Parts: sequence; structure tokens; C-alpha cells
Amino acid sequence: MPSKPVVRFMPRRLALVCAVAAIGVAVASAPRLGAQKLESWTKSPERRFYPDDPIWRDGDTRDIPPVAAYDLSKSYEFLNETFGGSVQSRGPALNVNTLGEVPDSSWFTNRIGRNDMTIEEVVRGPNQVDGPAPGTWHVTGRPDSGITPKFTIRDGRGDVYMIKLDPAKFPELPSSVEVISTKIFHAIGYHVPEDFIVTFEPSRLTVAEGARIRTESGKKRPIERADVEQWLKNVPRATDGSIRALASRYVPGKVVGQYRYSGMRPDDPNDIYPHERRRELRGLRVFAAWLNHDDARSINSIDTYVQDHGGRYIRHYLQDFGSNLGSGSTSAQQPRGGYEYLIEGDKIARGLVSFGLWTRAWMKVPYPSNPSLGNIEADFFEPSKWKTEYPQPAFDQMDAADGFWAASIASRFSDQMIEAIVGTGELSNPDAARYLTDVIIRRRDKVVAYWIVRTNPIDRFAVTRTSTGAELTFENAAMRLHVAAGTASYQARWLALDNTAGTERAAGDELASNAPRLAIPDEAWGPADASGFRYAIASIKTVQPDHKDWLAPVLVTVRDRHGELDIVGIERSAANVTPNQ
Amino acid sequence: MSSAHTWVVVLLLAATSAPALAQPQGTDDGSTALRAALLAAARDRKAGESAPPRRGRIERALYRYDNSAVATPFILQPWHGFQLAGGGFPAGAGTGVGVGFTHDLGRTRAAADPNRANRLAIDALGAYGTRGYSRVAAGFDMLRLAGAPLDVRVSGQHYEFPQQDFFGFTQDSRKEDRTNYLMRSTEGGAEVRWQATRLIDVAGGVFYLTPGIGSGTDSRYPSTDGFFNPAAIPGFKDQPDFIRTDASVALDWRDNPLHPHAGGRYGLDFSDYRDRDLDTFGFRKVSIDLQQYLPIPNRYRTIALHAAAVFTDPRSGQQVPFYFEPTLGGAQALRGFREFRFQDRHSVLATAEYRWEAWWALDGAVFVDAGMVAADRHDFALRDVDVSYGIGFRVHSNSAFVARLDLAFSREGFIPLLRFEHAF
Repeated sequence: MPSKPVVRFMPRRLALVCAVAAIGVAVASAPRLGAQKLESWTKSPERRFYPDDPIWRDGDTRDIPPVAAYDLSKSYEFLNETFGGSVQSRGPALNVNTLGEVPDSSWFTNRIGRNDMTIEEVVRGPNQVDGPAPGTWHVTGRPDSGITPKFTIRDGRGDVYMIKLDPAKFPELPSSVEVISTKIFHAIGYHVPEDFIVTFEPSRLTVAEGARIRTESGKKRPIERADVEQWLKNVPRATDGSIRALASRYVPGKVVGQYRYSGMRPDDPNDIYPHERRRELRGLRVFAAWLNHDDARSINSIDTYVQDHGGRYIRHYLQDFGSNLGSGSTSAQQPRGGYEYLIEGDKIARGLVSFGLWTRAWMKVPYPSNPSLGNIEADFFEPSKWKTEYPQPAFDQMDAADGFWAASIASRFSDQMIEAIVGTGELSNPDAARYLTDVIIRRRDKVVAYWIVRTNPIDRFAVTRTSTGAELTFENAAMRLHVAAGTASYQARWLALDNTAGTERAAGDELASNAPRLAIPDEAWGPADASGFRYAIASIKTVQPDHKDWLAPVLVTVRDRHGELDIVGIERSAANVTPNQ
Repeated sequence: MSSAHTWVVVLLLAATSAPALAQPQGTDDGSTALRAALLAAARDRKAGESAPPRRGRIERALYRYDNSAVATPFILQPWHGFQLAGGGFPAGAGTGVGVGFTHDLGRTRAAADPNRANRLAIDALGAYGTRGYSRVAAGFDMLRLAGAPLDVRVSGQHYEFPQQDFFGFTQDSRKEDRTNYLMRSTEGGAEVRWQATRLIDVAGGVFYLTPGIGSGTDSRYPSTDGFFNPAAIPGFKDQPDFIRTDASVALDWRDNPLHPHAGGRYGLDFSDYRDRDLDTFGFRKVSIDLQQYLPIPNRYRTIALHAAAVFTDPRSGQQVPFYFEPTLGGAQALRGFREFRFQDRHSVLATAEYRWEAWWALDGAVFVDAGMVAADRHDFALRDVDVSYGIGFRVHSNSAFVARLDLAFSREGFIPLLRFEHAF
């Protein structure tokens, strides 16, 4: 038929191509914010420990004046991180305590990594309520942003929820992965929204008075009942006509923007660490790989100005896990997802000149055919090669110490716990639930196995009094978690620490031991500092033929507080930096 | 990096003696200092230099773009209202610039549900090409009538293409005989499209056409009537009005019509042109279009096959006007030859493309086209087929084609082709 709609879209497509190219060039040639600022890590000759070390609260929930909202541009973030780079500071994580742990803060709360959690606690997650209240839901709006079909409601309690709808071809997929991911990230320690699987009859919805929607022309107009019916028209329905969806409760406080994975927010006095040097953001790479959270990026974070702990401050949330595991939010995850950045010049060139004879390995990965699972598997997954959609400065700066921290936390999730968490996704097909449970367990095993052995894996240090003095004991995490074969032995040297001057003095010869325990010799104690505390440092190497990295010593500082001994310092080698390949 | 950023980073790095939370600076006498106090001091200092975040120029521009209700749909989504548009001109029109307008009637807009029942929409276009091509057009659509997969479109247009190429008839026409002529027409009609099943599309329509032919305006080449004998070119001297009746059926099982990797589309079109004035140029046209996509062995590599044929048959004692004859050459058919390079009453074309995904947004392709035209179906012979071949690059999204650059070669040289639609 020769007659076609007369309006053609060629100029717009050309405009798109040209705009992307031009912006990419512009961003790439723009001054790179702090990218040249490469700081070296040097040992200070000053006091090393303070009486309140190790601290477990960062203190970044101090009262601050109200801040204005600062929303990020998703286009800029993508182009800047892809072509420009935003790193302002390089080096090991800064926001850790003297044990190398992340104190509780407005970013992170130690949960499963520090404390035992019951399955019930993990499954409960961040939830303070049981979901939207029974009764009528008042539709209040429809966000412009994001690609997931969604709208907002206010329930009978006055709580506001985002209702995210599953795509017709992938029922249960994004809603299940979002709930499952929320539970895991919460148990790890991140701040996340409260998410619920809900089932509702369309008749339960009513349009709230004054609810408005922005049309495609940019004008706002009242939402009509017909709009709501159109939104629900193509979503999967149960045989009784009910609709399954994800209800994400609005987080408390006033939304003031998103956080970047680099730099600091200049109007937040509590934000004193460059984000790329926050351990919880660097280590997030391990968790994101585990759960295939390839959409981990600044745009999918949220900052809210909250009142809590007696002060007003900015709290930082992860959000929007709809592109986790096998889900791509509105479809199955792209097979590329997790394996390749959106733009990698060398691979594009290689792909072109090879005439298709060179294929990416991920192109051959088989996935389950169940649409509620999408594209997720565990056999081909390699933690070291996993990638986000585009480079993340914090992820790229992750080092072996960050990886060990994160893998240690991941290892705390038991198989039973993961099975229970998958249950919160309410997949209707038991086989699908079993498959997903198995995949998450095996991906956990892979991230743990990879990152635990990248550095000297001794941990669980303890100091006890013995009949002959004192003894430092520890464990080998790699052996405990069965991620390394064979046996290991240990070489240790004691150093007496003058904490006032920050200097060390060797105390005795290097010791060799097949057992993870060391007697603390009297000469290992340094002089008392102004608080009357003494310090002894054990520099412990692990000898295992298959792991040369384990020869990098872990420095464990024991403190004597007037006869009371404790571990005050753990310094793990971060030299084995492993950027995304 | 602001000064506030700088001092905090320097403070933290210089004062720390372990890879741990910030350490106090030189004033510490060691007796009462606490880690918490140090952190509080650092935060106090930053509070004194606190400043709102600021966007740079590029970020500001992109932020506006992201949050614009205008920009995003303008480029990425169906847009309603005024818009830039091309003219849908054939090759040789120069740069086309136009203004289009589309509008959904009724309160519920298309963006809410483009598939809703009884959707009414209007569109209009005015466009001009730098080589004097022009088109004005308008249409009225009634979509998904009564909720059925049935669309009706009433449309009209007037166009003037002053530099249409003509090289003569038969496959033996010479490249050096390039001429040009003017064609204009005012047309109007209605068509109905019915998606009978998920795979089968049926359509039909009636149009009134008023073609007019004149001397070409391209000064680089002779006008057709000055080079060839107009009397030997059917339809050059006299142009009647026509009523064209169309019918078509297509079986389409491509996995994704916007960017296919598997499946096929087999289409058959029939058109009857009735000469309203002279009873001289009535004819029928049958077009066969076959597409097949063979993934090897997965969706990342595809062999795309295309076979097309157009046959025109005049009514008894009548002729097929030259301007309605099938042509070969150009971006859609026999790409190594210039557009309209070959024309006659019948044409056949076969294309094979090997496409591979070089990147999620870019495919490479190598292709070979073969085709010929003939005045009589019995004149088709394999030895007379012309061949072109080349390499192409196709930009696409995860699900839709965006643009292609084909570099095509033939016995007549090299032609680069940038187009915003698939070759087939």
C-alpha cells in the first residue's frame, strides 16, 4: 500500500544520533572534576588510636540546616561516568573504623555482618508496617521518571506508596526481584524502602481529589478514572481479575536528591568522605554482582532530609531494584546486563571488524524459559567480570579489603535464609522459586569464594588471658568457608606500638605456626599513652602455596586498657586493587 | 572540586595514620581527644564552608533535557503537536525540512493508550527540499474501530518532485543517459487496514490521483523530454487522472518487525489503475515481497533474505505510464546503483544480508543485491541480472531500528547511503 502516514521521524532520529555523539564529545573534553587528583596513602608519624576506638557510630546524623533538593541528571551521570570520570580521590576506604569495619551512619547500619539475624528478622527487612492499609487506595499521581509502569497511591493510614506494575510478558518478575533484593540489601545494612507484594482489585482504586498527570505535551491535567483503567489495561491479571504489583512505601523525610558514587555533597556538613572512598559503596559492587544489580548507579539512590536521633540530617537510600537478578524492569534482563558496559569502544571495534566471528561469551549463556525468572543464572557468572550498566567510580576503586569486608557479610546469609527471602517474592511457580533460590545461593558462593581469597583472609580475632599471659587467636575465613583447599600456616612478628608517637618497634623474631594462635610476649607491649593504654601489633602472614596474596600481612593491634585486653586495630592489605575487567 | 571538598580530603588524608576514620591534627595532646570529637570537628569545619551544589553547563543542559516534557518525546517517543519532519521525499530531493503536526482528538491522549478503541487522530505535513521538492499532506485516522483491529485512514496530499531521474527503459539503459523530469500530483483517498489475526494483515483502499509531468529542473542533466523522444515514453505527453484501487495481504511472523532477527514476512499487493480521462493508461500492478530472517545460531547473527517482484500489466490496448513503472536502484533495491537507475514494466530483486551484532546498539552487515527490469516477463534471464554488494552499519536500540549507513558497490561505482529505514 503506497499511502503511509505522512509524518516522518527521520530528523528526530538523526537528532538523537547527533545529540548523543555531540554530548559524548563535549563531556569527554570537559574538565574532569578532580580526576587528576590522585592522592597517595602515607603513614602518619602521629598517634594511631584513641580511647573511643573502634567507633561504631560515625556521628553523621548530626543536626544540619535544611538543604535544597538537588536532583541528578541521568543523562549527565551516564555520559560523565562513561566518557569523563568523576573520581576526585583515590586510595583505600576512609570511612572505616580501626577494625576496618563501617560504623553505623546515615548510609549504613551494621546488621547481619555484625549481629546474628534470625530468618524472621531478615524476611521482615525494613518493613515497619504490613503494606498498604485495607480499604480504598487513592490514586495521587503518576511519576514522569523511570521506565516501569507505575502510579502513586495514598492508603487509609495516609501512607503514600508507589505501585509498580509487572509487564504483561513477564508477570511477577520485577515485583519479585525488587522485594527479594530489598530484603537482602537491608540485611546487609543499606537503607532501602519498604517494599510489598500486593494484590488488588481495580475497583479498590479511586482517584484522589486534585490528582494530576502530565501529558505528553507537558501540560498537567486531572487524572481521570479512564486513565487508571488504561494503566491497568495491559498488566497481568489473576483469574479473578485481581492485579499483582509491588507497593513501595515512600521513605520518610523530604526527598533532597540522589547521591553520587564519587565526591561529596557540599551542602551536607555530615558528608566528609569522598563517596568513592566509602567502603559500603565500594563493597556494594560485590553485593550488586551477587544480585545482578547492574542498574546500581547514582540515579537509583535517594537522599532524604529526615528528623531522627534528635537531629535533622540527610539519610541515603538505595532504591529501585527492578533491574536486579533476571529482570530488566519492563522486560527480562538484557543478556549483556552484568557483562558489558553500555559503551566499550574496544569491544565495539572488535565486534565490527570480526564480522560476527568473534562473539561475546555471554551471548551463548542459556537462561530459563520461565518469564517470571527472566535472564538469570549462576553457572556462567564470574564475580570479577561483572559490570554495571556504566562505570561506577566507587566500584572501580574497590580493593581487596573492601571485597573481603563485603564477602564476609555475604557469607553470613545462610541457604535457609535465602530460601525464605525468595519466598517473599511470592513466585507462584514453586519450580521458579527453587531455581531462583539455587541461583542466589550459588552466586553468593561465587562472590564469597572470589573475594575472600583476594587478600590475607584471617579474621575473627580474639584475645584472651591464659595461665602464662595472653594469647591472640584468629580464624582463616577461606578455610572456614571452604573456599580454599589445603592447609595454611602462619608467620607472625610482634611490634610494640608507641601510640603517642605512632612508631613501632620490632619485638622478637618472626614466629611460625600451623595453628591460628599467637602468644603475646611481654616485650610486644609499647609504652603507655596518655590514657594509660598499651598497644601490641601482630603482623601476621598466611602461608598457602596457592595464594601468594595471603603473604601480605594483616596488622592486628591488641590494646591493654589497665589489664583489660581487646582488639583495637585490624589493618588488611588493600594493595590488591582489582578494577573491573 | 570546591575548596570545601579540597580541605576535607586533605585533612582526612594527611591526618590519618591508619586506613581508618579521620585522625586529629597536631593540636592533640593525646590525653582527652576522642575519635568522635575529631569527626565532629571536621564536620563543624565543613559546615562553615557549606555551599549548595551547583551544576556545570553541560550538566545543567542535560538536566533540563531529562526533565523536559518536550525534549524526550520529541526524540524518542511518538510526539503529538508540532514537530520537525522530513518530507518523505525520494533520493535527490536535497535536504528536506518540514513541519508536521499530529493530534489525538478527545480528552484521553494517545500516550495513555495508543491501542484504545475508536481513537481519532489527525496529522498534517508541510515540507520542502532544497532541490525544489515539496509536499503538503493531511490525514485523518480512525483507529481500532469498535475495539477491533481495524483502522481507517482518509488522507490527501499534493507534491511536486521536479528532478526525478530517468535513464531510459530496460536493463541496458546507460548511466550516461541520466535525465530528469518533473512530477506533481494531487491525491486523495481512503484505506482500511484489518489485522485479521496476529500474523495476518489485510488492507485495501481507493485513491484519486492527478499526476502531471513536466520538464526537469536539474541543470546538471538534460531534461527527459529534451534527451529522449517524449512520444516514445508512455505517459510523458499526456497524463490522465487515475483511480487507484489497492488490496494487500501479508503474513508476518517476524519476531520484532522494528528490528527482526527471526521469522518472515510474505506480502502480496495488488493495485488497479483506471485511466479516468484518456482510456489509454489503465493497468494493474502486482507486487510480491518476501522476507525471511534466519538466526545463526542465535539472535546475534542473522541471515536476512529478501525477494521482491513487481509486475505491471496494461489493460487491453493500453500502456503503463512510465512514472508508475517499477524501478531498481537506490537505498531499498540494488543499492550499488543510483535511485531510479533501471525501470521498466517488470522488476525482480533478490537480496541477501548477513547481519551481526557488533554492539547492543550497532549491527554490521554485508549484503549482495541482484535484480533486473524487463519489458516482458519472458525477458528475465540470469545472465542479465545486475549485482551490487557492500557493507553496512545499522544503529538500533534494544528493540528498534534507528538508522543505517550502507556502502554499496556495483559496476557503476560506489554509493554511500544513509537512511532511517531498513533496506527491507
